[in-house]
Amino acid sequence: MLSKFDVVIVGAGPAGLMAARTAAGEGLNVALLERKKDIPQIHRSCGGVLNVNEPTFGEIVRYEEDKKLLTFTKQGFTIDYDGPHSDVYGFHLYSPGGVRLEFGNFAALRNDPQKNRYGLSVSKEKLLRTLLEESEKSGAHIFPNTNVCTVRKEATGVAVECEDGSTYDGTFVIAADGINSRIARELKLNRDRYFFGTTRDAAVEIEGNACPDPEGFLFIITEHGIFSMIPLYKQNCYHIDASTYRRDIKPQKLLDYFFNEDPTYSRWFKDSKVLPHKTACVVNLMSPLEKPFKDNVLLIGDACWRREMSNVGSLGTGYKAGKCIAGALNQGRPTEEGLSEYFAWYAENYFQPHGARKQGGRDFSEYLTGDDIDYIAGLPDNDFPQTLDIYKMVNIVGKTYAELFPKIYDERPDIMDKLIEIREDMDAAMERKIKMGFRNV
Amino acid sequence: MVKIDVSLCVVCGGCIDLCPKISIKMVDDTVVVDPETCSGCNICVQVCPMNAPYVCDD
Repeated sequence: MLSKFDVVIVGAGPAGLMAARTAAGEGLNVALLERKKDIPQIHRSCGGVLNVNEPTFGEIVRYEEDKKLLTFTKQGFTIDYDGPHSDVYGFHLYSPGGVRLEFGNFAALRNDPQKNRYGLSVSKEKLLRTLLEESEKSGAHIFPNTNVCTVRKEATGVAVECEDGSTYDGTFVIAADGINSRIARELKLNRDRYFFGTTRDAAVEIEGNACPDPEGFLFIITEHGIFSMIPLYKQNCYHIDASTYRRDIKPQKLLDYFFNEDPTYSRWFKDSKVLPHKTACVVNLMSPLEKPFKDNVLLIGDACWRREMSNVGSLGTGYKAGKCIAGALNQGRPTEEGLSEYFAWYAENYFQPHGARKQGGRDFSEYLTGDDIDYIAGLPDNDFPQTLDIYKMVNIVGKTYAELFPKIYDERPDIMDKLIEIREDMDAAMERKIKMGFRNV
Repeated sequence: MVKIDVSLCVVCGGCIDLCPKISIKMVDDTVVVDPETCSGCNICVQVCPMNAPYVCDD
């Protein structure tokens, strides 16, 4: 039995580490529990991109290269980052035959990276290591190799129970245990969430590729699935991810196909070298929590979200959680009411703008041929605005194609029929996805 | 019961998260199944993106 902590944080990813650094820096007695032994080591697929210069969940992050400093300008905190980085400018969406929708003209934007980049690809390992060292320096007690089983409400706080029989008592608990949060499940918070199925990803890192404009977040739609490619912090290296919600497909097999067999895109990789670091992830898609709190447990980062809270959201919720819990304890209000500032901030920047959205992610290749998708991709004649905000990109695509329907109806009634079928099949398709998922309640 | 082929496992933790019995844990950055509590439901086998868990009789 260990002493009682002001706050016990579960999970040492960007959200949990940022919360630990902040809370310990405010003078709180902090325990940080993490199941990994080597905390900064990355096993779960992540492009490692921080959104910069563009508003993200109400925050604008800037990176000053000379000071090696990431500044969260709205909340007013900084993180040292003196590792390597590369610049990311926006989204490019590719169709099976190689037609591209551009959310940013990378060739023009790359002339002034500091001003024009909307993403900074960083070494997440380096970032987490910095936060870990700073948390320790501020006095946080770090417990690696610690598997949390459940949380239990106590008279004056919360007990966190671990697999080895140890217990950590906190006045508050911060659950930063990621997208498939066990604590959310143990608190029975998942029972009221909409479930949208499970996606499984496998990702590799490669060196070199022949893509003409690789400095962005590339979504590549093929007849065999959707792939993404993002520049890594390392020069000329890329993170490539294959994702599927189908139980009968192994993501690893999809990656092999993409590299070796895809008629359009395997050409990009014929001289690429596959690096040894492999990652994967399993993502249960659930609607975000409107109130990310129960029994003195505050859920932050992806633990309360759908996915794509992104590194900026994880660091931002971590910082805010650390500050607000310190504020609640300093005011002698160790209760839900003590965190009212956190809930108002979360509602304004996270839940109200993005929380109610349904998870789409339809696989159009179930309905459309590669040629159909190439035709559709070739239709928009206007330039899209530069963005690395996935919510904004999806909205623009939806709006653009709604306006193009009359043209498609005229030119290609066969494709219009299929688009109508996609819309009519929406509920049934969701049912199929849910059935193939692994609901975790 | 289920075992993990550590040569295929990348330690993403997806099976740990979704195991209904909380029978899978991470020890020294390796994924380990507890044979005492594993119910043999095979969810980990289906979930794994890397094909690492497998069913065995002993």
